[in-house]
Amino acid sequence: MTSRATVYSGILAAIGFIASLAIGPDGIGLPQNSDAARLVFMEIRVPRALLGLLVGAALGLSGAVLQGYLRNPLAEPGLLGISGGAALGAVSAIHSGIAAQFALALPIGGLAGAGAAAIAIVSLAGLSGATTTLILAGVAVSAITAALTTLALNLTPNPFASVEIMVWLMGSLTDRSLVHVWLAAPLILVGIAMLLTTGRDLEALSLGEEAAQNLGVDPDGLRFKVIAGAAFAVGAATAVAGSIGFVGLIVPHVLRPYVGESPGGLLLPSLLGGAALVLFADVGLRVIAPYSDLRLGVLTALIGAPFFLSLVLKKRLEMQP
Amino acid sequence: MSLRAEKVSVRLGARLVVEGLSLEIKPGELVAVAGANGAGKSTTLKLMAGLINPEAGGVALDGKPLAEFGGSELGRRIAYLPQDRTVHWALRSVRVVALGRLPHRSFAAGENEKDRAAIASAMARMDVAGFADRPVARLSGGERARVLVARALAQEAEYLITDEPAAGLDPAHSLALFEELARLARDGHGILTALHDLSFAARFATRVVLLKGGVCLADGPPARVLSKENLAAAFGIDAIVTEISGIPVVLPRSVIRTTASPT
Repeated sequence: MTSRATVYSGILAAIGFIASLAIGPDGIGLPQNSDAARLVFMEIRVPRALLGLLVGAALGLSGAVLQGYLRNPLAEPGLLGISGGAALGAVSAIHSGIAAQFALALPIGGLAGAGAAAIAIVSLAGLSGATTTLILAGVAVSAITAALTTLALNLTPNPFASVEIMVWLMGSLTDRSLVHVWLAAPLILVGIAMLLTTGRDLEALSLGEEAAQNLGVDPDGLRFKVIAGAAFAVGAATAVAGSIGFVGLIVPHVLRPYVGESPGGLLLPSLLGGAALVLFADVGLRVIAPYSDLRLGVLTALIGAPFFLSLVLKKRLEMQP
Repeated sequence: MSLRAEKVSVRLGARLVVEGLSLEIKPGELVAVAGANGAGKSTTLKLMAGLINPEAGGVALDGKPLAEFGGSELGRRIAYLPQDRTVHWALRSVRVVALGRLPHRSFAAGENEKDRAAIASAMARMDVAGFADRPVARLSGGERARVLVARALAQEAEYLITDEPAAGLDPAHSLALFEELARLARDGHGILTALHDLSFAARFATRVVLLKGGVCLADGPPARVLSKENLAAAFGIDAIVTEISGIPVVLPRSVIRTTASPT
């Protein structure tokens, strides 16, 4: 069952991916027959495009799954506190100075933080029970990780480390190598695979938990797939790219009307749409401000916030007679 | 061949909501569960649908405990329609009805001819085909209720368990709904329904189960169970039980005051 939304968002993601490979700060073009150009292509553009694809897909899909699972259009990947945990882990790596000794300490710290946050959420909310408890646990973990991240920032030993933390928190795909891709890709793909299996259950859940259970949904199994899938996908994405906000919130929102609001039918388009948005935003950075230090997470937030303004206006117009 | 609860008890928090209840539905029966608010009707229905596990006793379908059925397998045998009519997304009506086919579809398989026929037939029977393409969010409460009943019918299960399906429906549609339930029972389905309209229970049910405080007060043919004495015991009402033009009517006349009033 391939919907038109899947096809269109897939085409957009493909264009974004090719553009990301082809467009650099120094203009457009695929590698010529020079070793330097080929090196730039393989070491800079390929990892960046692959990470854009993976991170965007992880964020878009997790947003759609969480919105469907919690039956709340305002749910987003950061809600469970997993991205907060990843951020805290990475920031701790910078703060402690390990990241300065050993570059991969940053993403590995992020992964450890995401894992710790997922364990904290499961032990707080349990593997079965009401979705409200899960939201509350997510809010609690987010609050704790945000507090500790600020503490780390506050107590950094030197100004360079605080700048590094600030910049990392803004989220970016620059200066990532293929090693980052190999580190994150398997985890993101495992998460995506788990999340993609929830479509049918999310459909049934439109009728409420009891009716869904009657239609064959195993509530505990679904909860596990949602938490673990989001932990793998969002945790690994945040660990390598930092916090990139709004993607998981906006993409399902924009696509929902095109799939007849079907929460299950929304998954694949959101995965592709998330990838498209991140890739285009990242290419946009290179075109608009090639040598400035404008960060990806800042740009997605700049795109995301006005989008919500337009949503408010649309709702108001609908309400008025 | 039956859906049978044997001496089941359910505890919600500290309270025993259902206590030592035994209940059996056979294909061809329309069993009405009546009782005051909080008597345990909804819990009994969820129990019979296998949605909650009893603290003691067990529920079995054709002799096999419900816990031993797979989720989808049970969904093909028993359809459950909750009282809550919330539909969380603005799905089109036909998509809501189509959800009833989920237990019949293997993973990632699309709808086949049989699914489409079941959806169309369920929508026709509930008179909702006219707004198949309208989002449920834009339907009236009664229209939405009928779409949800159609979802349960599309499940084509042997047993249908519905919690207050006629609440909020206009007289024509609640009559049509109960005629449909009675027809399903005659066609060999087992129907278990909670309802507050005692006249409907008297008229359409083949059996009435009267609950009070989670305990079964009476279980039998409507004419015997819906007696003045039982209604006084279950609801604390003084009721007129009569027949008008051959149709049984139960009319609550007054509330029986349990404390002495100064008259």
